[in-house]
Amino acid sequence: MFQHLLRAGAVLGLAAALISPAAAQAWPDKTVRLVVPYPPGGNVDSAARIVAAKLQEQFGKPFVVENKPGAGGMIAGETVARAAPDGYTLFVAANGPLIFSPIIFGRTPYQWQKDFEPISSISFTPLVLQVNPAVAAKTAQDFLALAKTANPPLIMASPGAGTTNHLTSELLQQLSGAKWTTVHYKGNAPATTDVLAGRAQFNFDQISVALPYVKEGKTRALAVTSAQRLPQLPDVPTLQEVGFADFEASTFTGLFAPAKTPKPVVDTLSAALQKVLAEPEVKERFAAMGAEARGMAPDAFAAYVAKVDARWTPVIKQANITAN
Amino acid sequence: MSFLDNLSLGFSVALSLHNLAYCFLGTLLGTAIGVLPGLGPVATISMLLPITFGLDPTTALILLAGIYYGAQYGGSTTAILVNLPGETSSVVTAIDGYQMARQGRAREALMVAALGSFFAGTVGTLLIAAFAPGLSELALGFGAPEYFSLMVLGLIAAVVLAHGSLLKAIAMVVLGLVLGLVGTDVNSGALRFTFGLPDLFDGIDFVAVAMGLFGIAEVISNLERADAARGTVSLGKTGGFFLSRADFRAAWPAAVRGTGIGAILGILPGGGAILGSFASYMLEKRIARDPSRFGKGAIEGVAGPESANNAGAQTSFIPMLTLGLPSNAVMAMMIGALIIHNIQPGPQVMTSNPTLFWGLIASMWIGNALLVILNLPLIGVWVSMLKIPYRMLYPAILVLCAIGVYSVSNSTALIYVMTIFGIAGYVLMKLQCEPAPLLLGFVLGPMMEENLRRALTMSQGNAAVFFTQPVSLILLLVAAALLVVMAVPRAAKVRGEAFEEEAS
Repeated sequence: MFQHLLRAGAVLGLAAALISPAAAQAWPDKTVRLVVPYPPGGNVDSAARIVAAKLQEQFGKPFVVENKPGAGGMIAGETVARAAPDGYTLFVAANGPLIFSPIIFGRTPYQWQKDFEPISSISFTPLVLQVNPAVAAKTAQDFLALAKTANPPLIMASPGAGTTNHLTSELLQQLSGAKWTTVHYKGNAPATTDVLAGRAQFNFDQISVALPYVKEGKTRALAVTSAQRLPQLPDVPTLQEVGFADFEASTFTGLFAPAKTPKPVVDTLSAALQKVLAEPEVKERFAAMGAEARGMAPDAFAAYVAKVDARWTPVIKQANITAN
Repeated sequence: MSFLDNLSLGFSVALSLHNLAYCFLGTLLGTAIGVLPGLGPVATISMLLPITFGLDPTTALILLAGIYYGAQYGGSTTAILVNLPGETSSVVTAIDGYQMARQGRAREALMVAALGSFFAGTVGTLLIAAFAPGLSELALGFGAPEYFSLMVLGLIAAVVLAHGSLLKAIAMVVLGLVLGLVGTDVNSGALRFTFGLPDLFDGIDFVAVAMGLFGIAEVISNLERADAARGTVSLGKTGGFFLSRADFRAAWPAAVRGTGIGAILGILPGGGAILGSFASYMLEKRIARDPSRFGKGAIEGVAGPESANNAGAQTSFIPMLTLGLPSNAVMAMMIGALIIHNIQPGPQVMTSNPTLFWGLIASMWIGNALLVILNLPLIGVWVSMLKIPYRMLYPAILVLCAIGVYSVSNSTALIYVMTIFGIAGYVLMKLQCEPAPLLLGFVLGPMMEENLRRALTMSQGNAAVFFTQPVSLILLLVAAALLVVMAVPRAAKVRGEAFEEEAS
C-alpha cells in the first residue's frame, strides 16, 4: 500500500515536472508580489511602484508591491529566497540588500549568486559630490588637496553606515589618500540638512536631492560618480575625469526571482520589463527621481551585479565596515 | 506679491470643486485610518501613492496632506476612548483623555480635542503662510548640540509626566532608554542587544510598544474585573452638545499654550514634533493650581497636547516646503509624490510653483475646518460605540491592534513584540509604574545618544560645544532649573501631596 503511494507520488512529481514548462506559458494566472526591502516612499519603493503598475497593464494580472523593511533589506531578501520559485514572488533589490548587508551584518541568509535569478535591472542612480559654499575648494582636485591638509579634518555627512553614499566616500579616501571625518545620520534628510547649514562640509547626495540646492547656490557640485557626465549637471566632471580611472558608484535597482524559477518565466518577465523601461514616459519618471531607467537581459544583468560585487566587497572589507 | 495676494491665490486653488473634493476625501480617509489603532498614515499613503500619479501634483499633495492631518486627529479618538495611542503624539492624550472617558466625559474629551486641533491647525497654517521662509532658517540653526540639549530637557520633563512615585517615574524613563538601545547604532552601524534576531536589527518598533503597554495591558486589566465593574466607560449624563463653561475656560488657555509650543517644535526637522505634546503636557501640569488632577482626567491635559500635536503637524511642513527636507516618513512620501510629478521640493518651490505652495497651505486650513465639521457630529457615534458590551468590544480591539502592527512592516514579528509589551504593561500597571515616561525615554533616548555622539565627533571630542552654542546652553539651563524646581522642598511638597493622595 505504502509502496503504491510512493509510486503514485513519484508519478505525480514527474507529471508536475513535465507540466511546469506548460505552467510557465500560463504565467501569470494570479497576483504577483514584488517584495521591496525598504519602507514606502524611498527611491526603490517608487521604482517598484512605477514598474508594478506597468507590468500589471501588460500582463492583466495584479502586480502588488509589498514593503518588508528591516535588517538592511535582508528580511525581504530572505522572504523571497525562501519563496516558491514559481514567478509569483519577486525581489526588487538594490546593492545594499543584495550584496552589502550580508557582508556588513556578518550574516548570510542568502548568496545572490546561488539563491536568486537575476531578471533585469530597473534603474541606476549616480551620486553628486557637493560641498557647502563656504568650502574654499572650487574643483574636485582642490577639494581633495584641501581634505588632505585640513585641520580639523573635513566632515562628510553620510546617510548611514554601509550605504552606497558611505562606501563611495570610503572608496574615494582609499584611492586618493585623503582622510576626512565621517558622521552618520539616520537617513539622507538630516545629513543634507547639516551640509546646508555648514556643520558638515560635504556629502555624496543623489542628483534629485542635490540639484535644487546646487541651482540655488546653497551647495556647490564638484563631481559626479557616474561614468558619464549627467545631463542635469553638464558642467560637473565625473570622478573618472578627475583622475580616478574606472571610478563608478551608483545604486542599482533590479528585479530578482528565487533561484530555480523556470527560465521561460524569467525571460518573459525580463523582456516585458526591458520594454516598459524603454517607454519615454517611464524614462521621464525615473529621470525626475535622478535615476536612469534601463533594463538588461538576465545574463547581462548577472554579469553587471557580479562586477558591482567585485568592486565593493573589497572596499567594505578594507574599510572594516561591520555591524559586529 | 503680498501676503494677502498669496493667500487669495491659495484659496482660489484650494476652493476649486475638484481640489475641495480631494481635500475632503483625504481628511475622511485619514480620520478613518487614524481611528483604527495602529494603521498609520504611512501605510495608507503608500497604498494611495500610485493613484496620485494620475492627479495634478497640487491635488495629489492636497489629498496626501489631508490623510496626514486627518490621521493625526483620528489617532486621538482611540487614545481617548479605549486607551490606544497609535502614534507618539497621542500617547499623552491617552493619559488624561482616557481617564475623562472613564468618568463619563468622553464627549467632552473628544470635543476639546477637535476644537483644540482646529484652533492649532488654523494658527499653524497662518504661521506657515506668513513666516515659512524665515522659519526655515530656524530649522537649519538646530545642530547636534542643540538637539542633544533639547532631548535632555525632554527627558527631565518626562519625570513630570508621571503622577505617582518619583523613583518609579525615573525607573521607567531609564527602562525606556535601555529598550531604545536595541538595534543598529546610528553612529557606528553596530548591532546592539539584537540576540542575532534580524527582526530586532532596526530596533523595537514604537507602535508595537505603545499599543502593547497601553491598549493591550488595558484590555487584560479590564478582563480581570467582573463584567459589571468593568471600567470601560460610563456614558455619563452628557448635558449639552457643547462644552460646559467651566470646561471651556479651563481648556482654551491650555490650547493656546499648546499651539505655541507645538508650532515651534514642529519646525525642527530632527524629531521636534514628537516633543510638542509632551512639552505641552509638562507645562500644563507645572503651572496648574492643582497638579494632582493630572492623570485623573484633567481637561487641560487633553486640550494642550492635542493642540500642540496638531500645530506641530502643520509646521512640520515648513522644512519640507522650504528646504525639501522631510521630517518624518509621511513627509518623505509627499516628496516622493512631488518628484514623480517632476517637481523638486526645495527652496525654489515657493517661487517656481506658487499655485502648489499656496494652494496646499490654503487647503490645510480648509482640511482642518472639514475635520471639525466631520468630527463634531461623529463624536456621538464614537461615544455610543462604548455602549457595546466589553466582551464583544475587546476581541475587536485585539484584532484591530494585530492588523495595525502587522501593517507597519508586513511582518508577524511585531505582533509578538506587541503581545510581550502588553503583558509587561499589565505587570507594570500592577506595580503602579506608568508607561508614559517609559515611552518618552524610549523615543528620546536614542535621539539623545545619537546627537551627543555626533556633536562630539564633529567637535573633535570637545564637550564645550554644549555650552558655547547659545541655544544649547539655554536649553541646558532650563533643564537644570527644572531639576532644581523638582528638588526643592516646596515643589517637592506639591508632588508629595499628589503622591499621598494616590497612596491613600
